[in-house]
Amino acid sequence: MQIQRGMRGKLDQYVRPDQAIEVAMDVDGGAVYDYCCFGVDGGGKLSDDRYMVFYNQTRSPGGEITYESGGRGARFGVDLSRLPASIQRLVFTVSIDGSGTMGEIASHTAAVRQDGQDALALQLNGSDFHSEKAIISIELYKKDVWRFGAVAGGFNGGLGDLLRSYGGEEVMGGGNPPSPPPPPPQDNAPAKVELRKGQKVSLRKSGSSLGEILINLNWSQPVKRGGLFSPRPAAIDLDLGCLFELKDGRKGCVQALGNAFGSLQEPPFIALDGDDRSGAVAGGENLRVNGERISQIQRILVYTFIYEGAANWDEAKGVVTVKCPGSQEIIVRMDEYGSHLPMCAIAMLENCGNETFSVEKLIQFFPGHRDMDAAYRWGMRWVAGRK
Amino acid sequence: MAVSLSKGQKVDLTKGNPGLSKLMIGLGWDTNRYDGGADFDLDAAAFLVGGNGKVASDGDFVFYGNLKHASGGVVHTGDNLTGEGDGDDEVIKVDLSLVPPSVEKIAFTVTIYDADVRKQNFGQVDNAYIHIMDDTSHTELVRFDLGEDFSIETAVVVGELYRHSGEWKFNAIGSGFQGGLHALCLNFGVNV
Repeated sequence: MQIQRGMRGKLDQYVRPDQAIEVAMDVDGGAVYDYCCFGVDGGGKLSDDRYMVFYNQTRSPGGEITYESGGRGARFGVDLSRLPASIQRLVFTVSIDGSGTMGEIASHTAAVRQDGQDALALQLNGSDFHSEKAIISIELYKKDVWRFGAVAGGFNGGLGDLLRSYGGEEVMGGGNPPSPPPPPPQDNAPAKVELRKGQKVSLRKSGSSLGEILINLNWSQPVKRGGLFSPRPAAIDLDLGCLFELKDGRKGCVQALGNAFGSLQEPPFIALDGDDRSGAVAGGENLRVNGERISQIQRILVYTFIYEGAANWDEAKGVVTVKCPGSQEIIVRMDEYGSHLPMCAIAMLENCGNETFSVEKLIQFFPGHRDMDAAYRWGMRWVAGRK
Repeated sequence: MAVSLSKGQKVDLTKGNPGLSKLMIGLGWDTNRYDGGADFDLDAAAFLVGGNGKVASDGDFVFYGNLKHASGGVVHTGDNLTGEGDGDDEVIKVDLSLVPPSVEKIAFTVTIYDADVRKQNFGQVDNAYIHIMDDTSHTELVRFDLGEDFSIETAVVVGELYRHSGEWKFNAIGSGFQGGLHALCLNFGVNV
């Protein structure tokens, strides 16, 4: 049945609510659209952020809600009967990543399906919206019985406003904030966003162009231990580097090893400042990305690896900071992870509509470049090198 | 202590409350917590009808275009165009002693102005309520939170005051209709 904005009703008139249903959302338009299901409590709050299901968290804890991309949008598998009693409402949202508004879309459809058939279908187009950057498409909610509501209303402020309306956190990609982080080693910038694993933030600048993105790696040498027979700690040399893929298909890496320092003005528009082999230089190592050339960059995989010394991330206390003018800093701490593999993929920067990069924290450890390349399907050939 | 009503419930007003005459009927609602789209303009109205459920004349329809009934028994205190702010969105005052004997029932309604053009309906309206205050003592007598999940309706008959054995009672109706104020007018016999 076709439904219209504002319509509400009991779900059992259209589907068997105790059996699996699918909620499909699609947008036809020129921007980047993200789809999310918020499972909120009776107070309308996201009290358990594991019930925010989207591309970065594709399953709720019990698999009652699942996400997969499909069509021109996303497909959510929903089993209402298995949801915990604390989840009283499922809110299905569309938000725009980067530029664009819902008023500019060609069409938006949302459907509740069972057995492959549309039981309820909402069809809207750009004229139904204005400057919204995030909308609630439809809701399934429990009031005595499970019901649906065709909300089709949204927020000009985008995902941030949407999150706030469910008690979530700004910019964090949703959910509750992590437990208070340890104080950062270099505490000189006021506003910082700590990016937890699997979260994505957008490096949105307030001005017109993106400017220079600075990725900084800093670390500290292990403290010298006293005592006659205590082992002398080995010096640690951490390296910062990145794999890049340009829009024209060119791929490569920027890192000190192999003297591939890159260039800011020439492709790949990414450059490494210099190699801090001791961690003693206050500034650490800097990788810069020329934001003016974003339109030529597809994606950048930032990594760090231990070139000399044991693969002891705990002692190196490496901190990777992504700074972008006009945006909050993004910080990744290496010492939270106890891997003995020498290489770590830190973050993926991906081009969003040639206007900004989305930054996704990865933290995946690998034995070396080749394995990391394979894991992210970069498709380069690797030979051993030395600096 | 006000009586909280649920849908379909009927309650005595004047019985056991001699001297009660001046009432303040407050209606409220929440709309449009989202950005974009047109403002919601909801209107409260009162239909004074006889035993046949129809108005005797168009003047028995008290609304934003006819704020005061000829008897002075029903007065609409004014149109709120946006529904902003806490508390009652619109208030209708009733003086039972002035209501003509031919009027058996006063129905209170809320409709969405220009709903078709603005593509609005009561599915986008939450927390609608009606409450009746004693306008002399300023105490709340009854309150009815509709609590109903309306859908594509554009008009709601919220409740009605009606005569019963010489007393006034209140009936918590809370029924939605499509067709807006126009449909309600036809229902109550107003020429539109």
